Parts: sequence; C-alpha cells; structure tokens
Amino acid sequence: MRDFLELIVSVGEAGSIYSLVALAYLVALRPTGVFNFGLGEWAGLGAFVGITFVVTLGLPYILALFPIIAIMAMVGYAAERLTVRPLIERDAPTLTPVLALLGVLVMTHEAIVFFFGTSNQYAPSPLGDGIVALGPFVGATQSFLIIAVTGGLFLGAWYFFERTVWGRAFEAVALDRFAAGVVGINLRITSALAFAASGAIAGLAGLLQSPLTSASYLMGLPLAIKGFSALVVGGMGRVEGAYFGGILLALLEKLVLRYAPIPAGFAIGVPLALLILFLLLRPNGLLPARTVR
Amino acid sequence: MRGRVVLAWLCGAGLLVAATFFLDDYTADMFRKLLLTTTLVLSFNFLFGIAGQLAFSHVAFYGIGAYAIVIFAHQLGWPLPLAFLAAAGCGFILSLAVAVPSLRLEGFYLGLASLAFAQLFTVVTSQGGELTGASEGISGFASPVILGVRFSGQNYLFAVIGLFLATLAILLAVDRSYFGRACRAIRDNPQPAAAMGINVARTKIIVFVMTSVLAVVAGMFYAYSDNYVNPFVFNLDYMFLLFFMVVIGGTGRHIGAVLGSAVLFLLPEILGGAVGKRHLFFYGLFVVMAILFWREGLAGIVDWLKLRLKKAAPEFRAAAPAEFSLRSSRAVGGDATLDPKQPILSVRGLSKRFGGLLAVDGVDFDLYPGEILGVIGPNGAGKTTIFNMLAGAFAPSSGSAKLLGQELMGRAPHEIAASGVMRTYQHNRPFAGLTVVDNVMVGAHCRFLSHGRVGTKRQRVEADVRAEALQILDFVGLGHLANAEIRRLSFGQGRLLEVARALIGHPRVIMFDEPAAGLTPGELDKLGEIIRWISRQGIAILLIEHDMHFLFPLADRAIVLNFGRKIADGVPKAISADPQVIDAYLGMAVQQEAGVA
Amino acid sequence: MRRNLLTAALSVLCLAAAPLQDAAAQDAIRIGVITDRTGNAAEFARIEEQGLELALKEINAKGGILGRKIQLLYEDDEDKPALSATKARKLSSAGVPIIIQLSSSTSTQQAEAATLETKTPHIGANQSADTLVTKLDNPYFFLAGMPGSIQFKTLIAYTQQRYKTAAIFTDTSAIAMFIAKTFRAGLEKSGVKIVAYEIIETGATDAVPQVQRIRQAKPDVVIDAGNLISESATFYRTYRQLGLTYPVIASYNKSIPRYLQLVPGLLNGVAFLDCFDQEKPETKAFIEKFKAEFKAEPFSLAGYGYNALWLVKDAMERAGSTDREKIRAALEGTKEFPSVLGAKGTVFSFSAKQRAGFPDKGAVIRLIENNQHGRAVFSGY
Repeated sequence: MRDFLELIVSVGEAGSIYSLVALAYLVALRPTGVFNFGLGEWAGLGAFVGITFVVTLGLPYILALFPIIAIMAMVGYAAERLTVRPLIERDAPTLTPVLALLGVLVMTHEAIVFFFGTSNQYAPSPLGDGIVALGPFVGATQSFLIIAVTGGLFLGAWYFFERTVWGRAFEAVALDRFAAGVVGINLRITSALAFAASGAIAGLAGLLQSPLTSASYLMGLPLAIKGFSALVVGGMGRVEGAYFGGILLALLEKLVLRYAPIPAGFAIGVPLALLILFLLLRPNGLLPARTVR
Repeated sequence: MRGRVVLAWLCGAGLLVAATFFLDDYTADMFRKLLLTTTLVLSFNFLFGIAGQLAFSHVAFYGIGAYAIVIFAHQLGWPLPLAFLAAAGCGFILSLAVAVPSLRLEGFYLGLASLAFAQLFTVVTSQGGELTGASEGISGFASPVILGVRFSGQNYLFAVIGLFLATLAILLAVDRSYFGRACRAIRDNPQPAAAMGINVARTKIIVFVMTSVLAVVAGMFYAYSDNYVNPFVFNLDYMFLLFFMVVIGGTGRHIGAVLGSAVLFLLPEILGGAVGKRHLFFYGLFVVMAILFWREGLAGIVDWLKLRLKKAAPEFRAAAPAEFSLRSSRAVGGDATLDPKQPILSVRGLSKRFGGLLAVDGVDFDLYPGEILGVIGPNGAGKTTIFNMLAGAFAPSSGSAKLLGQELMGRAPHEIAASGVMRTYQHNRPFAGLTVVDNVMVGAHCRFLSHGRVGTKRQRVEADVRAEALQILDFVGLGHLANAEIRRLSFGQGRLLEVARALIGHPRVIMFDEPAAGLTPGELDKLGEIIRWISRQGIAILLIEHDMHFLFPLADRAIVLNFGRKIADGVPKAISADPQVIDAYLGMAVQQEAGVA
Repeated sequence: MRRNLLTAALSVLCLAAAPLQDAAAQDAIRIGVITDRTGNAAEFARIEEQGLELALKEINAKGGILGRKIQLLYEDDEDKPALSATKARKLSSAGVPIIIQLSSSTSTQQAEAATLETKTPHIGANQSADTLVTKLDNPYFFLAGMPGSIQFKTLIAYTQQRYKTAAIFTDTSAIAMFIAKTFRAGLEKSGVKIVAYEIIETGATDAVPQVQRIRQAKPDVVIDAGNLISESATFYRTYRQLGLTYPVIASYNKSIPRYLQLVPGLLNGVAFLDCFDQEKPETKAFIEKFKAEFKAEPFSLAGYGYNALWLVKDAMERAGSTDREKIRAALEGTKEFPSVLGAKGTVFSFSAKQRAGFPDKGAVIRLIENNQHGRAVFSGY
C-alpha cells in the first residue's frame, strides 16, 4: 500500500512535467499548426537560466521567477518572429516551419553548451530538499510543488481557453485561421503570444524538474520525446488532453516499471511502444478536440 | 546522346577510382565515410525532398542493415550471399511494417512515428543480449572475401564507390520517370495527384520501402568500414545531420544531396578550431537561413554556374503553331465507336448527406459523348459535391454513376481517373514543384501504367507523352512557358494548365469546375474555343459554371440544381425560360439575353 | 557527371587540407589525443585533459622525451564511434608515434579497428570495458583504465562474503550496462543471489518504481553500476527519499566529486571503487602538483590523463625511438610502472597476454562521509 501511495506522488510529479511539455507543444501548435521539436532544449535552457538567477545571482526564488519566465517567453517570441512568422506569411506548407525549428533546436542546444558548459549543475528547490507527508502521501517537497504548480497552471490555461475572450480567440485561430483573421483577430499577436507562452511553459518544466535531477545539457531530448508522447496519447485538441496524456503516460511508465514481470531493459521501451501504438491506431489521442464552432 | 551519358558516368567513376590511389589512410577513411553518408543522403533526399515524406527512421534502417549483415554472416555464420539476401529481406519487411501503418500519418505525425521507431531500434539493439552484442556491439569479424578478393582497404573503397554510383543511378532513373513525377505530385498536392490517376498509398509505400532498403544496403557496407557495429552510431544526431545536409544542399535535388553531404561532412575537418568545435550551431543556423532565404540551397550555386555557362535549358521555349489532333488510344474501340445516342455517363439517384445536411438529393442525369452539359445553380446547391463524388473524392450516401455500364461510385479517385474521367478544380491546384510541362505529363500517369512501365517501352511512351504535352501546351497557348516554374503563371494561365493536364490523359469525360472564374474576356474566348474543340473530339464534358454569358452559348444542355435537387434539365433556351429556374437562380435579365443567343 | 567531379574534387581538396594542418614545428614529438569536447563524454574528458596537460608540463620541464619536447595533438571525436575511428586514422596519418584516447568505450572500440590496421600504438586512458582487450585481437592497444573485472575482484573481496543477496542498479549507457553485467555475473558466480536488477531510463525525473522494487527485494547490499550523472543523482535522491538504508557499493563513477554538489549529503555511507589511493606516495605528489596548478583537488579522472602520458614517456624512453613497433614492444614490456593510479604498493604492468595494465589488486574502496570522498578503507583482494 505504501508503495502505491508513493507511486501516486511519483506519477503525479512525472506526469506533471510531461504534461507541461505537452502543453508547451499544444499552445504553440494550435494557433499556428507548427510543431516545435526544440521545446526540450527550451526546457533545459529554463533550468540553466533559473540556476543563473537563483544560484549565481542569488535572487530569492519568487523574485527570480519574473526574469526567468520573461527570458523564456522572449526566446519563444524570437523563434516565432524570426523563423515561423515569415514562413507562415509566405503561405509555406505547414511542414516548413517545423523544419526551420529543427535548426533552432540545434542552435539552442549548442548555445546551452557554450554558455553553461557540460557540467551538471545543482538546482535548489524553492521549498528546500526535504521530504514531506501530505496525508497518506509521502514525497519530496519539490514533487508536491511540481504537482501543485502544474495543476494550477492547467486550471488557469483551461479557464483562459474556455472562458475568456482571448482564449476563444486562440481557439478560433486554431480552428480556422483565415476566418479568424477576417473577424478581426490579430493573427500576428496570437502567434507571437502562443510561442512566447510555449517558451515560458517549457522553461518552467525544466525549472521545476531540475531540482530533482540536476540541470544538464543533455536533459532536453528525453523531455521533448516524453512531452510529445503525452500529447499524442492525451489528444492534441485541447488543454485537458495534454494533462491527461502526461498523467496517463507517467502512470503506465511507473506501473510497468514497478510491477511488470519483464526485464528492466524492455520495460524502458514500453512508453515508446505506446507512442507508436497511439500514432498508428489513434493519432488524435484519447480526448477529442472541440469541433463546435 | 546516350553515348555521352554513359561516357559521363564512366569518367565520373574513373575519377573517383583514380582518386583512391592518391589518398593516405586518413583521407581514404574520410572518403569512404563521406561516400557512405552521401549515399544515405541521396536516398533520404528522395524520400523527404522528392516524395515529401518527413521520416526520421532512415538512420535506423542504416543500422538495421549493418546489424543484419553482421548477425547473419558472422553471428550465425551464413555464407555471405545468403546473409546479404537475408539482411535485405529483413530491411524490406521492416520498412513495409513501418510504411503501411504510417500511411494515414501526415506531416509531423509521420516524423513522430518514425522517430519513435528509431528510438526503439536503439533500445532493441542495446538490450539484445548476445545476438546484437548489447551496448558494446559486435566486433572482431573480418572483412568479407568475395571471389577470392578481400574487401578491405582500397578494395573496400572501390566497393563503396560502386555503392554510391549505383544508388545515384537508381535514384536518377526512378526520378526521371513518371514515378518520379508522381512522387513530386503527391508531395505538392496529394488530392489532385490522386485525381490524375496516381495511387497515392501505393506510391508512398513503394518510395518508403525503396529508400529504406537503399539505406539498409548502405548500412551493410558501413559494417565493414571499421568492422564494428554498436547501437550508438545510429542515433538521432546523425539523422539530424542527414536532414541538414538535404536542406542546405537543396531539398529535392540530387546534386544538392551530394554537395550538402560533402560540405557538412568536411567542414569541421577543414575548419578545426573554435568554429569547428561548435560547428553544429552554424549548421542549425544555415538550415534556418536556407529555409527562409535560400530554398535552392547549394544546388542553387550549380544552377547559377550552369546559367552562366549557358548550359541550362532555356526557361522560355519557342512555341510551335497550334494545330493539334488528339489521337485517342483508349481501349474499347476509342471514341469513334461510341454511339452518340447512348449516354457515356449515367447518374441515378445520387445523394450525399453530411450529418444533418442533405447536400445532394437524388440527382439523375445522363451525359452523352461529345456533349457539353452545363451544371448550374446557386451557391450551396451541391454542384461541387456532385463533382467530388463523381471524381471519387468521397462516396455518395446513395445512388449510382455508371460509365458505360461500369459503376464508378465507391471507387478510389485514381481508379476513376484510370477509367477515363478527368477533372479540373475550382481553385488552381498545380504541382508547384514541377515545371509546366511536367505538370501536364502527370495527367498522363494512367497511360504509363497501362503501356509504359519499364524498359524501352517506357522511354518510348515518355517521349510520346512529352511531345504530346508540348503540343497541348502550344494549343492552349502556354507553349512558350513549357519549361517554366508554376509560379511564373498568371491566374488565367493556371486555369489553362488545368485544362491541359486533364486533356493529356485521353479521357472520355472531363469535368470542369468553374473554369471561367477569374478570367479576362480574352482568356474567356480562348477557353470557350478550347472546350468546343474538346467536345468535337468526342469527349463528354460536364461544366459547372456561374457565368451564364460564358456557359449558355457553349453548352448543348444544362441541368439546374437547387438545394441539392435537380429542378431543370434541357437546352439553355428552355432553361432560361423555366420559371422555377428564374425564381431560384437566374432572374429575368438572362432570359432575355438567352433569347438573343 | 558534374556531381561525381565535385565529389572527387572535394575529396582531393580534403587531401590537400591535411598537410596544411601539420605546419607545426618538426622538432617536437607530437602525441595524438582523441578526446570528446562536444558529445556525451565531454564532461569526463575535460577533466582527464587537465591531468594530461599537467603531465605535459612536467615532462617538458624535465627535458621532454628522448631529449625533445612533446606536444599534444588533440582530435575531437564528439564521442561518435565512427568519427573516432576516422580521427585515429587522421592522427596516424599525421605520423604520431602513439595515440591516447579519452572518450568512451564504444568510441575506443571502433578506433581500435583503425589503430590495428594502421599499426599505431593506442592507449585507452580511462575506459572500464574489459571487452576493449578481448573483443578485438589488437596488439597495439593497451588499456590503462580500471577494468570492470578488476573492480569486481575488489568489490567481492570487500564484501567478505557478508552478503547473500544483492540488488543491482544501473542506467542505459554502454559502460553502465557493461559494469552491471560484469558485476552480476561475478556475484552470481560467487554465490550471491541477485534479487533485483533495476535500470533507470534516460531523463527520468525520479527512480521510485526501481527503488521500490529494490526495497521489496530486501537485498543485503545495493550495487550501483550507474554512469550517467543526472540519472545517478536522481537515483540517490529517490533512494534517500524512500528511506532505504541498505549498504551501497558503487563503481568508480562515484569518485566524481560533482555528485557531492548535486546531491549533497545523500551519498554519505556509500562505498565506491576507485583507482585513486591518497596514501600512495606517487598519488600524494600528484595531488600536490595538481592543486598547485589548477587550485582544485584532483580525482580519478585527472589521474587517468596524467597516468597515460607518463606511461607513454616511460615506454618511449625504453624504446629509445619514436618508431611505432619499438614503442609497442616497449609498452608491452612495461613492468612495475609506478603509476599515480592504483592502490598503494601496486604497479602497472603490461604483457603480450595482458593488455590491461591496471594492477590486479589496484582497486581501492573508499567511503563517502560528511559529504566528502574519504580515504581508502580497503584495497586489492
């Protein structure tokens, strides 16, 4: 029983990280149709930028959040403004910006190595490195922080997209870019905001994960893969899909690793197999997109 | 001409072979790894650049080839020829296993699935225990001995040169054929491609399997470059590098693949120092620059050189005067034997329901050979929906459409095209990556399938079709633009291209979807002439049109649709007098004008 | 036609470029070094290079080798095995008498194919894979790293038959899998039952399922064969978080001090294998010199780099020339080389049958206490 309770916390924490990356993909994907593989590197960048402000410059965590999020949003905006927007406005096929962003992925990775080096860095947790028990659930304070922050962010995102005018505008652009433009939604601002948000969310994912694993120049790729696995499983249509997919992926992963009687080496391949299965059988994921116009 | 091509190949091969005598051990190693990489880039360029499939599995297949040959020939000890066949067979089966389920995946979905497959390859090989050597890999096997010759050192290099040239030759041959055009058509615009008779699914599978097997074979050669295979060579970094090479070299160009590969492979070696260390940053930057500003990539430099040396084919050719006769080669007796009193197309009870909306409601009509049948009605009446059903874009909810007694409904677009029904589109849908004449030749796809698949027959059909395409282009007035790119065409010229493309397939029926929209009066006259000429050849024509001034003088008969139902069917004069039609659509003025016509 | 011309032209250009790079002074002896500056082993190689540079400085200060100064000719293989083989050939074509390799085992394995063919002496400075000297019959290759088999001998001796059951923890990197495999086979042969064998996937945010399985298995000891820094740090976090207290013995990877920063205090009590015995006089001297030069304490990785270059000096002096065959023979004849590596009282020796020179009883066990790498508590077997 204790195992199970601990696993729940683990699933919550890992699933939250995956779902954050999935959300980052989603927020940029919906209004622009562009899939940004390079989000993993942005997560890594977020982690290192975080360390720069909190450790090197010694800012209190709460204060440091502002410049960190701002910088990551700028990175997202820069990528959109410089590589994505010119292509969309040229009516390039949707695949073309995706390819350009692969170039940005590599540039980001190399920039991380150049500025931060190849050594792993310690990332402090804002609540300390301890363990805490919340009712029957025991886990690291950072794990609970991750679960709480992600839950809050998703609630906010859900509210934004479902209940606010701006959020509806995003959805409108996602559903029909041309029509949205015609009714007066500013496409440029929407795309810019989408990518800025995407950068900020990805950076947050890296920032939240790094106290658990330390920050490393290699942390980007596994996150990118987990993130899009979560997105595919949960459904690319809406915010809840990202969350659901992340949790489900983590659940499967952890349960298989814990209980499945297969060699450890192959247990690791299970999430990959799941991704392939979903892509082939149910590429729209489990939660369908909203189609009501 | 052929002699010159053979000579060129021999010279090229000779140069490469001669170069091997001047290389020291290091440069020889670089050379063979460069050739192996270039071979991979060539096949990846075909898959991604020419066929438009963004798949990240290419390097995994390279690895499958390397592991397979080593496992069969050395772990299992099979004789080399058998091991080669077994390894190729494995590659073939695995690529099918990836290609078939991935058919439904487009764009980045295919990228994701193939990326997952590539990751799975690494997991399987590192956890494969004794058979795959697990994470340490397999080493200690000897270079193969074939017919008494050991393939190491310079001999191995000769073999790799052979591999490179053979891959290049195969890809060039496939590219310069109807199949290559079909691949590009699918890449540029899959729906019209299907409408021209291309079996999109089968073509995509063939391309994926072909290029993946080429990668598998290259992998087999790789295994003997250092006589060591391990899982970590075949990773995502290498895949990204291949992709960068294609983009920077010039997506879709064979010369681009070679240049991109050579430059990106050699640059870190030549530069060294600070730039050499972080060269990947610059590769990423170059890729972004290439995509934004310089799509032709390095191949563009070669084009520029060719232009300077005046070796390029001129973009504008001198047009021949337009006297043209359409030789019909259709089986079943050709158009001349068709009884003009028997309908060539019979539509009965055609209906289509979209959820709660009944778009087409029990429409009946007949179309006779050589007749021009107008289809008119207000927006939303169901005209294009009927066209889409007749072209096979989707199946009707009920009803039938028979072409000379053969049911068309429920068949795929390319099958309908093969039966002799061609269409044009409301909005121009050319294949942007092909020249004008190649666009037209795509329309003849079915002719290649029936007569000219392989060998000398194919070359003859290719020559015939090309000549005919040029004639048709002259006829519609686009002859001087035959070698031009699509973006050179004006809107009106694009409409004419659609007509030419539909014509070359020697169809029995052509469906024109608002061909007059957006044309100038001069262009309208020309179009009318062309359509009249087509009907005189015995081809039946269905014509959706809103412009009554254009349609009424042209059409022999017309049917009128309103809210999905046919409300009138007859000659234009009668129709324009029909009170229901006036009420629904025409209004009084046209009646008066039709009376004049 | 033009495409083939271009390819041939470019390859000839490449040939021309190579000599241009060798415009260095002819008098100095250039030792080839294959290192990783950009790939997955970059962090490890960086520190080994420091040891190498220190040795370089010392040797040159004492007059160099055979009366000539030495230079290090670095090539970055990006830890890519195929590129590693190419770089080995490049160095060989550049005429270096010997190559020192600092990157991973798989890269070294592929480079061996090249050094075998070009008959170039080749030292693997730090790799732990025994397979480097068993998979390929390469008489030119010498392993100076601490092989997994030797690590195991000390490990099993240290346990003194106290443990009946063991859990093994590792990650998916090549060397971690190799060490885990070696330890598992050895433990089972010694009658220890492996009750859990857990692997952490790359990029995992925690190791809860794996650690829970270890907890459920109730082993007498936990063996950490992990190699990747992030994943190892993650493992220890989870291990402590779940409150496990089984004794932990780790491979030499835990001699890397960076862990003490990444998971401070969480490694207390962990015993790890090391090639570095601070009681050994040569090691003491090395520590002082390194501190003076770099203002930081050295550890195993720096020692590997330092050791490799001194091995080269020793062999070349005995060979009396820069001839590769003579150097190879001299290396093979290395007996009782007083290395900075290995337990006190142990020496490096190579022979035709023994291509791994690390002393059989040279591994030590050290304890981590008070968030510091403590002294050796056990050595040899």
